[in-house]
Amino acid sequence: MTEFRFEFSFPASGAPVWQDRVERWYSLDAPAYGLAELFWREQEHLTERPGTLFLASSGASNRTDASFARTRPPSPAKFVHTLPNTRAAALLRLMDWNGPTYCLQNDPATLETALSEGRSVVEITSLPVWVASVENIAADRYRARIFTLKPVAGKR
Amino acid sequence: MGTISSYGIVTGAGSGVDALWNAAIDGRDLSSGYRGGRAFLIPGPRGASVREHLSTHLSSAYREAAPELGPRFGVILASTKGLSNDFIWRDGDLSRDPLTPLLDEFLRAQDLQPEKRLCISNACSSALGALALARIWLAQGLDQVVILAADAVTEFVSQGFQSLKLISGGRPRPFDRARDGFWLGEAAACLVIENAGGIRVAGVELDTEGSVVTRPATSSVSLARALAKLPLAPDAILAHATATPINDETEELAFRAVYGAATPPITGSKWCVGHTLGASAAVDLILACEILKRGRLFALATTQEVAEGYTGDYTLGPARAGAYRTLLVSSLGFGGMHAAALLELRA
Repeated sequence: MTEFRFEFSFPASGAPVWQDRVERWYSLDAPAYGLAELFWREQEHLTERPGTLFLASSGASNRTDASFARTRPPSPAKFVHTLPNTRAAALLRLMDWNGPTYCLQNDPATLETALSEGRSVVEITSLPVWVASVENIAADRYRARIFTLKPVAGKR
Repeated sequence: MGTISSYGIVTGAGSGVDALWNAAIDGRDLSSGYRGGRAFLIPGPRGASVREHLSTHLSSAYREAAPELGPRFGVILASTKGLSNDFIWRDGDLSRDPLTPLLDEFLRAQDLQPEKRLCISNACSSALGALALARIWLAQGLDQVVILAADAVTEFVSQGFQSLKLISGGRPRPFDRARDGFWLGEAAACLVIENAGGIRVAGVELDTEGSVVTRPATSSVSLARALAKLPLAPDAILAHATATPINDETEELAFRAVYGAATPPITGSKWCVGHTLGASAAVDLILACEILKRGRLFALATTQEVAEGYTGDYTLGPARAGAYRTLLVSSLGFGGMHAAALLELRA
């Protein structure tokens, strides 16, 4: 298993390099921005695409939900990001990938559960799996991580 | 791998699969005019939190399913945003996801200790995601997987969909030239997946696209990709059929692309039950099992005139009797998470 990580403050201070590739990039929430930025920074190491993607959504989209609930009038752009699976949309765009994706929650063990499910799927399918997660680590600080899990050579 | 061996459900029609089936076959509209917010669509304990409300109804659905669980079983809860109300306006812990407390409460109430348990939140295709995962768990050796699916139309959900302008101004009319959206609904459902008797899950395919998060790509390529991977052609289709202009257009194009202009007969359930969000695909899986068992396909009862240029065989008239052996359930989700499942009635 290889881990890629990126810690960041959100809102970001400027437009991302990949702004032209993601429609309405400015409406992304912190998890969506973080996963897209992490992939962009590490893309030369993330060339082998997964067979399955797991999103480990610790804390779900609670902070985005709270932000939406405070907005008057309610903002449709904020509401769509209150679905935790939408954090993958920009990442998928940059990956130029499609396939089975599962947005999992099992707090306080969400990440461990997603990694465990990922290992099981690698074993069954013999295809690589990615597990993507974003955690809020301080007031406006986040940690985005992508774990790549690969089949053991010769094992089926 | 996997069969749907039993199931139970609570909807706006009341408690039980028969109540839901009768509403669909009789053309009754269960949620038009329901605006959500402070009052639940399905009656329940007074003053209950959303978690308590949904736990009560999931327990009822579980009792109807009445699974005989072996020593190795798993439980998956599929849901989306109904539970967020408790966290946002009832002082929930924002560092914890809002779905897991419902699963915990359900497991405590039923005194269940599964080998595996988790929640899945894949937007409106959550229950099909749960079904795909259940098949993986069976392949790993579990005896049964209990899928729970529930959602509620809270203030949070209601405000969100009002802001997106997806709520119909009249009646939801799927695939109609005058369609303008859906009404929201509530449901709590339970399906038991195992390798036993029942309706066979011939295939489940999940597909994603990094399109605009509020709608599928107008090319319909993602849903078509999922359909094309299924192992058999369906005898009938239970479409997502939200009655929004883009959803229905996407399904029409995908069905045509994969099955040709002469599609199998197509129906849907949201005109009747409302859009039950994270539970919606579970509602459709249960109705699909009933269509296969009963040999009757209920109509799109509110649809008056199919949109111009659509070639799908939309079921507008009375229920159609037929020896349906295979049935497709399709689902489109925000964030580009789409899915399709094919169920098969075994001889």
